[in-house]
Amino acid sequence: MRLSLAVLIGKIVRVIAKLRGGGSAIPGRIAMVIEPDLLKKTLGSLSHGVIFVSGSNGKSTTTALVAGTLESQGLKVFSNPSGGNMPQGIASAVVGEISITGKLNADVAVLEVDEAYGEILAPFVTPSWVVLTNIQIDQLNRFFEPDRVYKMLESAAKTASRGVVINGSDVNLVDLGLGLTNKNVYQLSVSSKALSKWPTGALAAPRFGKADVVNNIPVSLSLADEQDGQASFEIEGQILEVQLPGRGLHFAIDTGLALALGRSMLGESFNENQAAKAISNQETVYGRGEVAAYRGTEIQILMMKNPSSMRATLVSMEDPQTAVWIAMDEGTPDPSWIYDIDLSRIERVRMISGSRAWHWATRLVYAGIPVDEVIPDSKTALATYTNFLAESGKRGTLITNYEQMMAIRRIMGYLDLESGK
Amino acid sequence: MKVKFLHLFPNQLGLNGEGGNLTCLIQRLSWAGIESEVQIFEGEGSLPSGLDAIFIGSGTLAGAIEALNLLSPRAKDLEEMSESGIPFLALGLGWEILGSSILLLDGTTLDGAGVFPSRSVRTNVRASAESYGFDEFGNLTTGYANHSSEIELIGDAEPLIELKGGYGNSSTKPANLRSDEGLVRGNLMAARLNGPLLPLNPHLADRFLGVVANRTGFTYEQRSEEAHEADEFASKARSELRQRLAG
Repeated sequence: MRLSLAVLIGKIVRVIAKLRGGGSAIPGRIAMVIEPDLLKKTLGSLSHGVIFVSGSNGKSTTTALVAGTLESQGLKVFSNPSGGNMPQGIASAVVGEISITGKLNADVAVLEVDEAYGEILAPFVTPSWVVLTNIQIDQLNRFFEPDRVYKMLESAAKTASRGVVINGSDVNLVDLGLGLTNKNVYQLSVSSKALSKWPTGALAAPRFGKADVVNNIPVSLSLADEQDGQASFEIEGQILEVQLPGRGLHFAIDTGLALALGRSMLGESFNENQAAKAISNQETVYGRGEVAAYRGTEIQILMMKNPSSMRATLVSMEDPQTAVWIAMDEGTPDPSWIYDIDLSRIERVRMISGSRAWHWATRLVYAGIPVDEVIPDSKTALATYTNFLAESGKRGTLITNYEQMMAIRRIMGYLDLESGK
Repeated sequence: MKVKFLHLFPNQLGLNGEGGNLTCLIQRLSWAGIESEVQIFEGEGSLPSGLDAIFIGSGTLAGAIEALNLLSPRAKDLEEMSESGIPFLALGLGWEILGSSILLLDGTTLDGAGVFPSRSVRTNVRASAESYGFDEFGNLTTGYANHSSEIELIGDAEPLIELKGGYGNSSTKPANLRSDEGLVRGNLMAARLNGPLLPLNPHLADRFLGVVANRTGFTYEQRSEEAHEADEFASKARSELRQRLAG
C-alpha cells in the first residue's frame, strides 16, 4: 500500500519535474520519504540481482555497456540514467519504470553508483556483482584523498554476493581485489601494448607508502589493442574485435569490463559475438561525445569531471581543436586541477562560459592558447557560439562540467534530462 | 642569466594543480624577458647548488610522509639554504613537512625539515571550502582550502593573508574565529590555499619574484601584455568568488 502510494506520488512529481526540465532526483527523494524501503522492495527480487558499477571515471559509459551486453543475451535490464547515481536518483528511475503495484519488469538491474554511495546503498540493495572501473584523482573537495575512495569502493565490493570485476590496469583496484580474500574476483587485463598508447601515462591515482602488488587475479579477458575506436580482446586464445562507442583506451577498458562482467556472470552461456555486435550498435552516453543538434548547427558535448576524464577527452579528440567552447561553473568547487592538464591539442578557444570562466581564461593565457570570448552567462554564450558556428560552417565542441552540461542542454530545449532525449 | 628553481617532490606532492605555480613564475619571468629553469629533487643524491628559489606543493598525507622520509637526510642542507636567504615557497602539506614538526592522529610526532617556523597538529576534521582574504597590501587573495590540521606559527612569523571567509591555518575554525592563513617571514612564503595559488593571485607571484630578484641581483618588472591579460582574468575570478561568498 505504502509502496503504491510512493510510486503514484513519485510518478506525478516526475511528470511535473520533467515539464519544468530538471530536478531528476526529486521524485525519488519524495518517494523514498513515503516508502524508505522502495529500493529493496522493487530491486530486491530480480532473478539476476543488482549490479553496481562504480569508480572515479567511466561509470556511465560502463553502466550503459553492461546493460547493452546483458540485453544482447536476452535479459531484461533495468538501469539508472547517467548522472543519476545517488540513491534518490536511482529511486527516481525506478519510479519511472515500475507499475503502480510496484512490479519492475526486469531480470537484472545495472546501476551506476557514486563512489560514496556504494556503501550507503548496499544496506538497501545487496549487489550480486560489483564492477569497478578505476580509482583516479577526482573531486578532491568531496573525497579529499584517493585513499578514501579506495576504502569506499572496498566496502561496496565486500557486499557483492556473487563476485567483483575489476580493471586490472589500475594498481589501486588490483590491490583492492587481492584483499577480497573470500570473494570471486575477476579482472580485465590490459596489455602493455594497449597501455603504451596512452600518451599521458597511467591514470591510476598515486599510491604512496604501500607495498608493490603481484597481480594474480583470475583474468576474464584481455584487452590486446585499441586503434581508432576498434578494440581487440583476447578470450581464451580467441580474438574478439569490437567497435567501441568512441576513440580511446578508456572506451576499450569500459567495454572490456562489460564483457568481463557478462562472462563472469553468465559463464558458458555467454555469447561474446552477440555482445560485441550489440556494443558496436550502441549509442554514446550523453555528455561522452554525443552530438547535439541546435538551430542548424552541431555541437559535440564532452564532459570533464576531473583531470583524468579531461585528459581522456583531449586524447580522444580527432584534430587540433580550433572552435572549442569551455563551460564550467561552481559545480566544480575546486578547479585547481585544470593546471595539471596538457592542453596542447587545443589550438584556440572560441568561448568560455560559466562562473568559472575567468579561472579558465587565466589558465589559458598561461598555456599560451588564444581565447576569443569570455561570456559567463550560458544563454548568451550559447547564442553567440551558435552564431559563430553558423557563420563559419564549423562543428562545435563543448567541453563542460556536469552542471553546465545540464544547464546548456536545458537552454537547448532538451526536456528529458534523464535519458538525454 | 637563468633563474634556477628547485621543485621538491613534484610526484609525491603534486596532487591538485600545484605545478601551475611554477608555470606561473616561469611564464611571468619569461614575459619580462628573463629565462629560467626548473630542477627536480625527489630524494636521489644531493640537493643541487646555485639555486635561486625553492618550491614545494601539496598532496596526500601518505605522499607527504614519503617525501619527508626521503627528505630527512637532506634537512640540514635545506635549512642552510634557507639561512643563506634562498626564497622558499611552500603550499599545504609541503609546507607542513618543511615546518618544525607534525603531530599525527595516532600520537606520533614527525620531525619536519625545520625550514619554516611553524608546527602542525593533524585533525580528524577536514576543511573543504572556497576561501578569501587580503594580504598586508590589501590585495584580494582567493583559493580553495582542503586540509585537516591546525598550523601554528612560531616566533616572529606573520600570516600571509588575513582571511575574511573560508578556512586558513586552522581546519576546525573558520575565518571569523581564526583569520590567519599562510606564513611570511623574510625569504619564506607559505600558504594553504590550494593548487594554483599564484596564477589566481599574481600579486603574490610578483611579490615572490621580487624577493628572488633582490637576492639573485636582477631587475624584475612586469609590464607585459600577457601578464596584463592574465591578471585581469584572475582579478575577475577572484571578484566572482568574493561576491559569491560575501553574498
